[in-house]
Amino acid sequence: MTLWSRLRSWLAATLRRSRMESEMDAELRFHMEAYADDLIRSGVAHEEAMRLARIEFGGIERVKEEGREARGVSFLETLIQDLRHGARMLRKNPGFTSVAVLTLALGIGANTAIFSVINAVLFRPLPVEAPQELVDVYNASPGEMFEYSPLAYPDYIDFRDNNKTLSGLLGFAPNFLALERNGESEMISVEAVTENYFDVLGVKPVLGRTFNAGQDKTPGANPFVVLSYTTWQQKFGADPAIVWENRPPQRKRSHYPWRGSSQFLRLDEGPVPWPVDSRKHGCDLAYGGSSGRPREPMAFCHGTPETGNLGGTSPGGSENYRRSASSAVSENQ
Amino acid sequence: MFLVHLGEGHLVDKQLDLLQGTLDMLILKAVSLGPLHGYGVLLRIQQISKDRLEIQQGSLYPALYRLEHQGWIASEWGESENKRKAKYYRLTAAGKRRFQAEAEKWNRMTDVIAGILGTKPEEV
Repeated sequence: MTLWSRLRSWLAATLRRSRMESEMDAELRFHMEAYADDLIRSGVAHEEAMRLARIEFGGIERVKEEGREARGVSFLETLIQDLRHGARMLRKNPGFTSVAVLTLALGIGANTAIFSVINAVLFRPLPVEAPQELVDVYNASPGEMFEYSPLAYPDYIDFRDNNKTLSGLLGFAPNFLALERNGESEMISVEAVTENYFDVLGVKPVLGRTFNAGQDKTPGANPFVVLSYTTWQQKFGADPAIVWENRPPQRKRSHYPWRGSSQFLRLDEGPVPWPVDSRKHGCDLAYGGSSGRPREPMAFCHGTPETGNLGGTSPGGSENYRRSASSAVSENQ
Repeated sequence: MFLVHLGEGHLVDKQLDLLQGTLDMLILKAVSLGPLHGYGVLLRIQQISKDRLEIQQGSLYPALYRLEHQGWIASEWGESENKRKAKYYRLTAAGKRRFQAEAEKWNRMTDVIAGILGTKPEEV
C-alpha cells in the first residue's frame, strides 16, 4: 500500500514535473492569499497584509525544494546532476580520463583472460573418464637444465609394455596436416596419438569407431583420423555420412567424429594414429607427452612431482635423451 | 518549525526541538476531523491548540507532501470557502491506522516521561 503510493507519487512527480510545479505554486499562492485575506479582514492594509503573508510564510524557494525532496523527485535529479558533473570533469581532464579508461580496460581484460584460463584448467574437468586419475609421464634428469623431458618413442613403447604401475600409457604429439575437400586445401592442426589413446582416456566416439589394436604398427599404412566433435559440427556440418563405413570403399581417409571439448588437450581437429616413423617424427614425443592411468590410486603432493620407477629397460636407440634411472610421474595438469 | 505560545500571547522566540514526527501527527489529527486545505490545516492546529502552538507556515507543506508521498493522506483540488481553487487533503485508511499507532506511542511516552518528571525523592 505505502510502497505503491510512494512509487505513484514519485512517478507522478518525475513524469509530470511541470504539472507538479504549477500545482505547488498554486497551492502556496492560495495559502498566502488566504492568510492575507484574513489579515485584511482584521484591519491590516492590503499592501501590508501581502507583505506580512510573504514574511510569515518563510522562504518560498526553500519550501518548494523541501517539497520536491519530500516527494522523492530530487533523487533522480541529483543523480543526473552528478552524472553530468562527472562527464564534464572527464571531458576537462583528458589525461586522467584516458589513464582511467586504460586502467579499467587492462584490468577487465586481464581478469577475463585469467579467468578463461582458470576456468579451462581448474574448473572444467577434461572430458574424459575419471580425469583426476590421469598422470603425466616424463623422463627425470635431476639437476639438469630440463629436469623433466618427454619420453622418446622407443622408451614410451618400453614403458607401455613393461611397467607395473599404470594400466595404460598413451602418447601424443601435435602435428599439422592438410585437409583437402572440394578442391580446396586447408591446414589443420592434429595430434598424432598412439592407438590406445582413446582406450586409456575412456572416450567413446559418437559415430564409427576409434583405432584398432595394431593400427599404429606400420607407418603410413593406416591413414585414419578421428574428428573432434567441434570439427565434425563446424567443418562437416555434422554429416553422419562422413564416416567411412557409409562411404564408397575407394575413399582413402575416413573420419570418426569424436565428442569432446575443443579444448581437450588442445585438439582442434582431432587425433590421428601415431605413425611409427622415427625419421619423420624425430623418434620422440618432444612436443607432446605421454599420460597414463595408474592401476592403484596414487598419492600426489601438489607442486612436487612424485617419482617412481615404472620398471622396464631402455631398448636403446634413443641417444638424444639421457634416461635417468627412474622416471618421474607427475600430476596431470 | 514550531513556535509555542506560553501563557497569554507570550511568544517564545526560540524554536523548540520537538520530537521528529510530531508535526506529522498533528497534521494527521487535523485532517482526520475532515478534509482541509493547507491553510486550513494550519488554522485548525492553531484553533485546537487554543493558539498555544504556532507552526511556521512554510514548513507545513514539505510535511504535507511527505505524508502524501507515504500514502497517509490523499489530496484533491476543490473549491475554498471564498470560491477559490484549493488543494484539499484527507486522511486515508492507512493514514488512520498510522495515526492511531502514533498517538498511542505518543501517549505511552508522555505517560512515562510525566511519571519520571513527577517522581519525588522519597519514591526513589
